[in-house]
Amino acid sequence: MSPSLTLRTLASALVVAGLGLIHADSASAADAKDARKAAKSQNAQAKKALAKKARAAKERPLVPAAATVSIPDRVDSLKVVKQPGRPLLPLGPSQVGAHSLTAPALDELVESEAAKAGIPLAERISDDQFVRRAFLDVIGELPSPADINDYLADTTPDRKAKLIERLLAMPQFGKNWGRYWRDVVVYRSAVADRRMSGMGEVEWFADRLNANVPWDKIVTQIVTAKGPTTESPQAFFFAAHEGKPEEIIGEMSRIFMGVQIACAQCHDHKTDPWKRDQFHEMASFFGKSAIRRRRDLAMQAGVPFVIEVVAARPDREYKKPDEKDPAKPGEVVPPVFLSGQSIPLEATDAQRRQTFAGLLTSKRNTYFAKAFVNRTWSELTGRGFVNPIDDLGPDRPTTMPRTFAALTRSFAATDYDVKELFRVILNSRAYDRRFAEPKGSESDAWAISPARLTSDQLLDAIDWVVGMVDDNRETGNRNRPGVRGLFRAAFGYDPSSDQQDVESSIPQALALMNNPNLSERINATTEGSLLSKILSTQSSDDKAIELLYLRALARKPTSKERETCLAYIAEVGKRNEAYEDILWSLLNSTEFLFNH
Amino acid sequence: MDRTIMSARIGKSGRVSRRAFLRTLSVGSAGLAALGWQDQLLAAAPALKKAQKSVIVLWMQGGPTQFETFDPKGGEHGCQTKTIPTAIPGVQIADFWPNVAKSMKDIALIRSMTNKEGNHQRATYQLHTGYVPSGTLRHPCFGSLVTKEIAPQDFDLPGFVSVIGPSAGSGFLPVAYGPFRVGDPSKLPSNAEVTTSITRFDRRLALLGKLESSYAEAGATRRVEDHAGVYHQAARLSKSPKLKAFDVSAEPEKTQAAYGESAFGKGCLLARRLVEAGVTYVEVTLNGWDTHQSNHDRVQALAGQCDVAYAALLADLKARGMLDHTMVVWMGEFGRTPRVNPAGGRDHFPRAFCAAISGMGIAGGKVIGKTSEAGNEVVDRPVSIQELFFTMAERLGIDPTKENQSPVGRPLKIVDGGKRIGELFA
Repeated sequence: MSPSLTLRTLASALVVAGLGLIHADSASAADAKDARKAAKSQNAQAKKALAKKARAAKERPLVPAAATVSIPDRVDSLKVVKQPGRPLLPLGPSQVGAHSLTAPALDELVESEAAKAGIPLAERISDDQFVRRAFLDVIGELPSPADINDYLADTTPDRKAKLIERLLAMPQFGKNWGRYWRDVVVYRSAVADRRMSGMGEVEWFADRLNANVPWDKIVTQIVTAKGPTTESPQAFFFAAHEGKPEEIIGEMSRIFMGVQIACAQCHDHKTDPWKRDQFHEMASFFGKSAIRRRRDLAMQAGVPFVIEVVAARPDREYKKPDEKDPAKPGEVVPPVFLSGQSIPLEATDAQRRQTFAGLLTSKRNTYFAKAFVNRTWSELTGRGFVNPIDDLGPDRPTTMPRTFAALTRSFAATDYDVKELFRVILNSRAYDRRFAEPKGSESDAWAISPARLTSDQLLDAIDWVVGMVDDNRETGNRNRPGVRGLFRAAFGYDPSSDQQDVESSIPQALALMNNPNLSERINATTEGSLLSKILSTQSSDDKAIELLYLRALARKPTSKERETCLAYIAEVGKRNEAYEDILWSLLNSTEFLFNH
Repeated sequence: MDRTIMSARIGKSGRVSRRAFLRTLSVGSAGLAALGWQDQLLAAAPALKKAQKSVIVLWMQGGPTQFETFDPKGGEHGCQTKTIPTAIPGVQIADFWPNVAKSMKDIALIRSMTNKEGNHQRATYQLHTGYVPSGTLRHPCFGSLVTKEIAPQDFDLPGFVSVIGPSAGSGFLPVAYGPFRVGDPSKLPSNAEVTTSITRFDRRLALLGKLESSYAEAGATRRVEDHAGVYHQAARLSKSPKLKAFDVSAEPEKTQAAYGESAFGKGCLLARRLVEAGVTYVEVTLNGWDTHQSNHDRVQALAGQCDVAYAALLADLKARGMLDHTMVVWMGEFGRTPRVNPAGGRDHFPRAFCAAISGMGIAGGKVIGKTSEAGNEVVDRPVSIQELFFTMAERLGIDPTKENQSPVGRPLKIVDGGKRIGELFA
């Protein structure tokens, strides 16, 4: 059996187990709309006429353009308007000074805050553990035994900084984090095939993150996305949320600001101060955009769907549904940002979204930097300064508030330089301490907490240990799903959820324990398998065990583990069988599944 | 219990982290670490245990037409379908359903389901969770909610099984309550069978246990324990004699024949076997109801599979005395337009559609609600999605107003509003 077949079959077996979201009926809102339209047109002729009309509409607007209105280019000149009974999202100072932070300065802050709180910080981790952690965190892959040995052999004082630079410069950095942001955005979509995604967004993110495009620029491109997903993959955000202003704003606010306003859609927020009106005023920024399904482009590109973001008809207004009687038409609502700046109702779609992007990414909106810093810190250390990581408030209990504030200021001061933020955190002592599991106590947030590998990381890790994946598409379509998409359906999780709440499932365990094709790749008798290579070249069990551990767990076995394995080999008597069981155990171990 | 409260992580608005809560339950119950979450929950609170009750949902994916199923309008509106009498005098259904017509004494028909959502994905979500999709929050599937409340403790098989599927996930509830998916009912679930001898499999598990100790000692005690818990359950399923419940070919040929040859028919038979073995919630999917073209012919083909299987399931459950504690619900995400479109199809229509419900004390032979002659609106006793779920929950002995906490501490009722459909029991 070819190695490439192996993982694909493992993945498809998982989906046969039906873990996939893939078989879901994928008709979209656009379908429903088509259907309704079709229902209205009682005969084919009327339908044709409609199509003709639609074609014509592409060339000239059916409705005369609304009166133009001028919006200042600089959103900071928009006035904050206070209204009685309405809280405003607090704005930061209008000038951000030079506050960029270095790793030693970060350590000083963390250590002084820990000392003040009386929390003892954990010891530093060993070098091999540091290498595995840094590889997984930055590029999402396991280090090779050579990577570990090189690091251990390097005696220069800046070897850590060099390794971090090397990893940040690898193209896998963008891919690993592109996948992360893809998951953050699509995981809560109600639409199954959008959760599978595959609109080119991972590559889109990867290109930008690798080129170190500042975070505000990346987000602005998402907010102001126009055109079909084939040309503008960043439109995947709108596609994931069906172009619905209410869902887009709820998610934009949660993801990019860490402010949860979605509860205020139907009633004033119960635990936060937000009013229902404020939710709809925020949604109004997206009230003049729409999506449509482009079957023609999907056919051309050979993908399951293409969604295009367009400006809605200029006479469409965003309306807030009547609270008591949803059947009523509702009241037209102007776009007003949570911090109190508004633009007139006459603003076009482009003006609304451009303004929104400006207000969102403005350095005065500290929540923009906070949300990114809190997520990044949480991904790298296992816990956010504020948890849940996407619920920053205002007014949430914060661990290490000074450190959080300093990192946030620094991120803004460096003009949202993503790699620089990584560099500062990765080079700090705060990053290379031993992990500790949360114990439900005060000290949890100060420790590095183990995090489950993402589905992509796990697939790559299995691939690295036992086989090869030939099909490296991010996702495929429903009929021919890519191995990655399938694996994600089985092992994926919402990256915004608390790591403590991410649990493994029985089907996952069954797949790793019993999958016939994975077993085949574990077998010492399979041609070209890892064990066939190791066992045919290593007559020493000591060396062979060490090689297996280095490969699978990126570390040498402890003396106890070595003894356990040797005793096991002696007990079983058959060398091949014993090694297969050892490799099976390593692939099924907790340690293999976690970044710690 | 002091320890319990002290070690639970309490967040804003007094919420206790779900994980921490579950964890604390096991603190006082040594030896339970190897069990799954639901076991621990139930072990910690025996009062939660209910008499064994089960649900089988026959999910008609795509939006089943009401006209060619259970609310026919004779020759009107492009209906080529004839109506036939049923076992209940005065109640007629479409002639594609001769077997169901004979079983009507065991079925309560709701002809007045009404909703607003005409998009497949969103309506499917709503009819699986009872909630309108919200973007920021993934709601748990009703099957997960039910499993959490009433699935038996210490049990080899999963509490919630989705056949053909995909059904919907556990949302913000633990994945342990999510559906165990069986794509092809004629095969055992993927990866369920051990690839080595049982002796070697046990030997491997023992080695794994030994090799896990260094990671546990390095500080990952809980992760290792949790992992062992899931592996214990998975291994238990793999080795369980109850795994045979998944093997429909073990049924007598006569029984297999009664359910029909289709995958859906086998799925219904599998559902009966699983419920018999003690599974709490089984959903069986029949795809293809999105009949925008050639509605009449396509529904005829679908009914050909569904009619025999549905009727056989009811008869089989009844013959085995299982219908008293098993609820069978036939439903889809919406209905279809009264008008037939130029392609001979019917389009999406959430305003009026059908559902059918049987078992567990529900009065068979009843018809709830009525649509207008044109079939374009409900004229009597509209039934909302919440009312349907409320009634199902209550029948299962679950308080529909009981709250679960979302990850940000928002309380969410098992069923958000609604009330009992009293007519089902009169």
